[in-house]
Amino acid sequence: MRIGPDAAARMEGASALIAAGVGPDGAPVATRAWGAVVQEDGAAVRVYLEADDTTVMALLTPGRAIAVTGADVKVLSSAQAKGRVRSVEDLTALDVAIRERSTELFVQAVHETDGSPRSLIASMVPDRFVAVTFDVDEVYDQTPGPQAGSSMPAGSA
Amino acid sequence: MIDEHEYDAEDLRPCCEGVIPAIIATAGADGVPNITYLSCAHLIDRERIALSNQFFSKTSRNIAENPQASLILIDPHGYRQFRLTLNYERTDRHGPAFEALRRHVDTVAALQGMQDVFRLRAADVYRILRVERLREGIAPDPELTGTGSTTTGGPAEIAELSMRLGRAPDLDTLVATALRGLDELLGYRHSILMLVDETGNRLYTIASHGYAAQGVGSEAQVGDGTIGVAADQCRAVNVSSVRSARRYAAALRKSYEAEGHVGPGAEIPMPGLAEIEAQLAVPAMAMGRLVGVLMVESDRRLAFDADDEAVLAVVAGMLASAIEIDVVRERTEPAAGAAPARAATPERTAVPTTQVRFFAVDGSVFLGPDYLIKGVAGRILWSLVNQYASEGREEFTNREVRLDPSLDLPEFRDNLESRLILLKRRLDERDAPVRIEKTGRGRFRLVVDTPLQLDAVNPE
Repeated sequence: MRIGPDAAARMEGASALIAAGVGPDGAPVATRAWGAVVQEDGAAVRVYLEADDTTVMALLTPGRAIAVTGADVKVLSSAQAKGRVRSVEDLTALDVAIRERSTELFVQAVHETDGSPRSLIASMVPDRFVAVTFDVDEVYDQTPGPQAGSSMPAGSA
Repeated sequence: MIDEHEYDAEDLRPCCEGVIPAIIATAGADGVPNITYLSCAHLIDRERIALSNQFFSKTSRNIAENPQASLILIDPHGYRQFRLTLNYERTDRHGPAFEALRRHVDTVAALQGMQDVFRLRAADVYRILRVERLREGIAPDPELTGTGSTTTGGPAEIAELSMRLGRAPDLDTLVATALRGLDELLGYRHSILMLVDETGNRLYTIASHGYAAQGVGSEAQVGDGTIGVAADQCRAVNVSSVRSARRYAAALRKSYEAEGHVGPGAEIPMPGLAEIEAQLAVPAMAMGRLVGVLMVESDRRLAFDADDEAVLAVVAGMLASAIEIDVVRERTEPAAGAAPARAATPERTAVPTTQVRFFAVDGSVFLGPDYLIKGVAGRILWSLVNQYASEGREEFTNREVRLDPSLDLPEFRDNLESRLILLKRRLDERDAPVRIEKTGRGRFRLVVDTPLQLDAVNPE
């Protein structure tokens, strides 16, 4: 399965990102993510999560299920990718740059869309991050409405 | 991160105002998570929360297999983030939680004309097992994020407004006094009063305050927009963030359009501020009947709360009662006798003629090239200028207008007085060469400044 360009745009743009894992007892846990990169021609996604969110990080170990939803802040068009965690790593210099750019795009988009002060939005941004890469198994349109949950066409991102 | 075993439920209530969408994660029996945006959430008490269920196909299937869920909420005042660990308990299709969510869903739907397709299916009620505060946020700046209450008045100011309304001699003065008083005494700088028309299906603006254009005569369908929902359901409608609600509604509408459920381009134009952040509309009712809707607006989101609802409910109630009294008085007290016909003002050749065009199909009247008004008010004006032109009449009584068969007014509740005020205000607003001047209770004068050329288009 590969993420197509539409879904990739919703992950990588000025997006609000949410990730979720599932505990051994079946309990899901959601957390906010701070940037994503579609890799390997759409076969994998690398996403940046709060390192200090120990609740969710305990669940996202290699081989475990993960879902990531990206929503365009301005129009709320959304896509969800599901798959299995491949790796959890510290951020490289490139990761840091991508994460910072993604966060800046997100803060600016919310500021322009909602009129909220930038300082208020920026107060949500964590201090420390990890990079979680997962192999994509499924991709869905998650835009609010009757089509939410429908499969998105696979393709090359 | 703070694990809130003894959290304050009041911290979570602002998160449920619909400003920032909530997000729920569930998992099926296969252990694969699923993430979905929610249109609204409602905190029932500190142990339970209700979540709207409209589409939710995957979420519903997951919950049927595994009742556990994770919910992310954000407080729009200070951007504090909360993560709730939930366990599904039940689905409500009626009752207080369902109604609370339905009110929000109906309002969102009304902003994009989707009342027929976007409806709350059910309210899923979850038990709150754990609350984590993910981010502390920062202290909100009231100027930027709202304080939750706009009113600057208390009982003394409401009493003063009541006294002023009590002294208003007629309906025209009453509505102007009310909206000015809302600003001067209670701090509501922008307000609109719409009345229900004869059919009960539409509202028309009889007065506004604090806007560049008065918008007198603008109309809204009952059920459309914030005002329309307040009229349709006879309850207060508080939209904390109009921008957020419209954005969510627009995304929904696009999705419905893609499925062919609704046609494109039916967004309801809202009268009022160009940069609206918050709206509060309250029904004006008297004797069990909806008379109109009073709405206030703000350029600050989260501007209104329960205190504002209470204050405006009192004012709207006073207005409705006064309007009803005026209607009864006009109908029961005898007219002061037929007004004498007076010779029309001699034709002034030096001033240009004003063309008055009347379209019988909808009662619309144009002065020169400019649209003026339509419907009952348009037919009233057409009748008056015809009597002016043919008989030289300038003085009229409400009673004789009421009996004019060409107006086809309903026998019961014809709204004549409010229509005359609407017409008067509309003419004044346009600085028209035709005006209406009140000359006493139930009497008025038609003042015409230029010669008139009357043209009926598609006469009945």
